[in-house]
Amino acid sequence: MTKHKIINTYLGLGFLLLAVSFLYLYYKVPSTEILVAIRLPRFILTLLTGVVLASVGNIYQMLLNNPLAEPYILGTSSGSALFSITAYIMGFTYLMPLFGFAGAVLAMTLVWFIAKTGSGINTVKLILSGIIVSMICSAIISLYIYLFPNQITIIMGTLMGSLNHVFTNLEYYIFLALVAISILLLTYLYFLSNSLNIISTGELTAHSLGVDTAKIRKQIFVITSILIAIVTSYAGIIGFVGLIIPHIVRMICGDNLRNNYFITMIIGGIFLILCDFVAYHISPFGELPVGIITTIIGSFFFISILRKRN
Amino acid sequence: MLKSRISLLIILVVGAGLLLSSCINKDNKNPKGIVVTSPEVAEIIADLGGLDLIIARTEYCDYPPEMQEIESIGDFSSINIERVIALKPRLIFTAAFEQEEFYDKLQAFGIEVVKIHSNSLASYYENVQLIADKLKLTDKASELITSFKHDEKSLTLPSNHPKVYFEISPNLGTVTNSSFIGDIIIKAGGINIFGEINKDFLIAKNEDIVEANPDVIIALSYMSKEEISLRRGWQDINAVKQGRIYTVDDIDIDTIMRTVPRSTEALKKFNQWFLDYDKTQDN
Repeated sequence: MTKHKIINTYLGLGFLLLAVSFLYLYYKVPSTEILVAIRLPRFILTLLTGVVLASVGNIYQMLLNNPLAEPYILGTSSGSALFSITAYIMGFTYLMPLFGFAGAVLAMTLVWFIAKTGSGINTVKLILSGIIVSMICSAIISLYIYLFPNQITIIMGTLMGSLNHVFTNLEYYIFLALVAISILLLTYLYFLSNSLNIISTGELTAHSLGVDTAKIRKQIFVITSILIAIVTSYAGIIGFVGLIIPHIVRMICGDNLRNNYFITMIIGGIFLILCDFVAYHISPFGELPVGIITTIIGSFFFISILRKRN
Repeated sequence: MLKSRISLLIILVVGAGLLLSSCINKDNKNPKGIVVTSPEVAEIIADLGGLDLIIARTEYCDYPPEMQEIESIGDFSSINIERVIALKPRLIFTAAFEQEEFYDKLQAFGIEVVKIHSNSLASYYENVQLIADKLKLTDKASELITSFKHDEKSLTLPSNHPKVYFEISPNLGTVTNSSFIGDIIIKAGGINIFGEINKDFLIAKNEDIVEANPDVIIALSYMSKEEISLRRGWQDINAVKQGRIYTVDDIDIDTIMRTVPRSTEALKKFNQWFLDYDKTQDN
């Protein structure tokens, strides 16, 4: 992409993001108090979730050279969800993100350990072990439904993914601090994108160009686990965003992570805001789980792009 | 030699068969028995004086305490179907929702299955009568129904009906007028803020609750009063300002989540809370 084209893309996306945010915040809003106290926190949570899932999916796909890689398939989301629900059931509501982080790291380590071979990481094995770990975590979460029937709606909400977290003021300030941390981490990940570009061409090439692949992998592994933990402890497991958004962007903007990093991020955010907007307003009372909408809209969009490319 | 071995074998097989069949017969010791999978039906049957008719129950059928001595064949949403069939009950009572599937499965075995779900006080009375008819315990039934109706009629209704938000789960799950709880709220003199919606349960939108500005909040979602009053945007809600938040600490949750004779306690409590609100309005 030329510089001119990149600037145009960013301008267009920025404008779209603004329009969508305005719609999300102001559509049928009853009062300014409600806008600030209830819609704004939900908006920030939705935007952050979309941004984090899409960028982490993008990075996983590059790092592992595998089109199926995403936080859900690699077990990170489920591990994090399992641990944050455990924290909730034990009564440590405020510690949910911390537990989530522990769960994400544990799940990732387990997946890594299963997939590790003598010569390095086998990406097919990695996806398979990710799916297995993810299933184990989901099974334990389902088991909780039997053990703690009083908590069933929270557990189901985590499994299906929902953005209707009810914040208290204190919780909201903690959340805002975590949002700030997430922005810093996402920026840091951007500065790793050059090395990631090189790693994606193959381990050998990367070594010969002086990239310390083991160190970068470890860094990315920890940073993405923190990001996923923050998001899942509030929004549960929302699949699909991390898988399809990076693909759509790469089909349009090419494989260079330096070019597509921020575009993926913004489109991820816009996509989830739109989906949650539909989930929130489609029925005159109550709301639908957002996971249903992301899957329906996302898969149709994805299929149509896939067909066009052929 | 061979002949005697064969006859020995036959004797063994027949003996084992007899032993086995006597085991099966043991399970069948109470052919008049009934199986109850629904906690509220179990409670109603006990109150009708039919506790000794129950040969199996599920884990949550725990009231009155004597119920817990009866064999349990599962929890609310999964039961041991094989065991139920082996018990050869003459009648099975189930609840609706999660228990819908046992209803279909058990009926396929030719056992009479009765599904009980009360979504209003009127249907509760009908169901008590139905259960009593099935078990021929009708004397006690009219007593139960009359005493509940008496409690219902002797309530003093508030002259200012409070707007009520009833929470059953922390993600803002609530009920409408077409549920038993919704009907109890009406009978106690309250107005459910989500009453008019055309289904019995829903996940409400946070902003809709704040906008509706309820005067009383009854939250049986295992949240504390503090947690609820600290929610963002809720400080302007009337119920929060006046401290009219009632939680699981204020009521035995089974008296309202189950539709049982004990529910009259919930009805009286709700009415008291609504009257308390009413008093502040007159001054």
